[in-house]
Amino acid sequence: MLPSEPPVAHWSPRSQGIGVAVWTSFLVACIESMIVFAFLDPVTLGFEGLSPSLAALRPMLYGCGFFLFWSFAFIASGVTAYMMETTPRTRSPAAGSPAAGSAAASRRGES
Amino acid sequence: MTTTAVVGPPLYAAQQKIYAREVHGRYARMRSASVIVLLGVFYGLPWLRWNGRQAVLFDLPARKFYIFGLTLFPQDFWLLTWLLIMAALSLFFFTALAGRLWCGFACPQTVWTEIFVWMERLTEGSRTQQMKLARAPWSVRKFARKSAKQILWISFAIFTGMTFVGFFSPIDGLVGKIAAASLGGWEAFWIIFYGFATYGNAGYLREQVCKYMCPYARFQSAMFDRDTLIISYDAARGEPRGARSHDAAVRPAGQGDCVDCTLCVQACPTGIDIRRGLQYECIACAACVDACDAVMTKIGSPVGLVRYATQAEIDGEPTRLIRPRIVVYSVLLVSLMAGFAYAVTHRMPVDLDVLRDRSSLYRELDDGRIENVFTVRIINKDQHAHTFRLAPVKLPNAVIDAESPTQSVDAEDVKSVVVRVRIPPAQGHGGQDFAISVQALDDPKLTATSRARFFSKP
Repeated sequence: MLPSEPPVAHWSPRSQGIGVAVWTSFLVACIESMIVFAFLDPVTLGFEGLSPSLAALRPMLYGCGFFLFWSFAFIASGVTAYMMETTPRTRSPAAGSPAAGSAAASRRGES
Repeated sequence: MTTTAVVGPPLYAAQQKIYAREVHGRYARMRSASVIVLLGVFYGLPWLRWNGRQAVLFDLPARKFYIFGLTLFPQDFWLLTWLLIMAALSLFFFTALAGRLWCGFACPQTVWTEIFVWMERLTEGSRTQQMKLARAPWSVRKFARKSAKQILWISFAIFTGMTFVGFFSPIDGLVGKIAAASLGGWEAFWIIFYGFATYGNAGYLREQVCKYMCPYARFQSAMFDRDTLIISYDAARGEPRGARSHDAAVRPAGQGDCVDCTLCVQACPTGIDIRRGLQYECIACAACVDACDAVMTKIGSPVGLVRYATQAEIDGEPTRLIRPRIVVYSVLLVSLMAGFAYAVTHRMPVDLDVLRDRSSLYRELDDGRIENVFTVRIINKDQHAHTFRLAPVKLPNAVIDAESPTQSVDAEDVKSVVVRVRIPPAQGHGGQDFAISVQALDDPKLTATSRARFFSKP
């Protein structure tokens, strides 16, 4: 007999936070690269001397710029996710009792 | 099949792979058609030629985008912004009208997952065979099947990465470089990066991207109303559910149409039970609709127990197609599209950037005249070379002393010229606004003007 219950599995809050941060910061970095490099030619920032060929230099600078934007956006998203995940919940009137304490701990993702 | 009776959501549970059952039906056919068209465009477009060059090429090193007959320069960035706004608005419009059409049929995540699942079925067999293989101890047969899948996945992912880079670096040259093993470092890096992202997202993460990472999945329900098409289970017709005896036509008294075969659950790529009502995990792929319709046909009941329907329809009310939000979205969308079409077709094929020389505000010449120096960039977006005449505008008695007052600019090229603008002595004080214009000698309609500021003695 096949079960009618769908499989239940969830990412831990920590993995969800990292996953969301990676993905949203990636989207932000894409848009940011597009806007910034549309207005700014990166070779004019003092990198002209790095390579004799601009055609070879630009893709490298675009790539570096993209990863720079991604890492900054990831730090912002990641820290936000971490802060949200570890925010202490409002204490219930029963706070202090061992049961409430452990429930709060498990909500925060502590084992 | 091992049952997974977990009470309450565990905080740390190993993610279980969802083995979605293969379904056949009209929505599966629609998705296949959509996958073929979209992937056909993605993989085919870089190979298309136009006027002797790649039809669609985002030439980042040269800072030019070629889209068929159109050449876009960084100055045309606003067109791209406009396009993105139109894309976002279309998404809102279609979401309000027919729910998550995007998720079920057009999202790259769905489209590539579909191909990867197809390869998985090709090498590992049906849902049941795949689950059996996963449980089986390692053997030559298991190793062979798993390796075949990995070889297919990895080659397809590399091909995908190559195609992606082919939008930015001419693809025929790219293939030649791969064949000669002389690929540039960044090209190789992006092929592997994009290939790996495809492999990971379509091969392993799949529905988890939609459930845990995708922002659209979280806010799309804000665009829903009672008249939005959603995947609905007709509970009034289906309940109380229950299995039937072998003679399926004989129905115990009071029992609904749902025979609780659970095929809708097995077919679901996100692992939900649609009979519990609409859930945010539902990507509206309609696999459950196809699965249920097949069963209903088999037992001789009308199809549509699970179907694309609006909440209003399920509740027995008429569905209103025209609602304020639909009207607002469509009016906005149509006007933006018309504006975009006009802007693209009536785009002036010449553009001008004027930058002041930063080293000095002004210079007084020996004869007393005042000189300002500018760097002028003439952008010829046309597919023919033109010779342009530079002229000062709205600055009386000014003359331009460029290296040459006429400048020839190649087709689809940018030329920087140092321009000295001079006015007679004692004409005006401080700063005054003026402009520099260019006009093509062979076509007086081809003209562009850019504002600048002229400084003289205070």
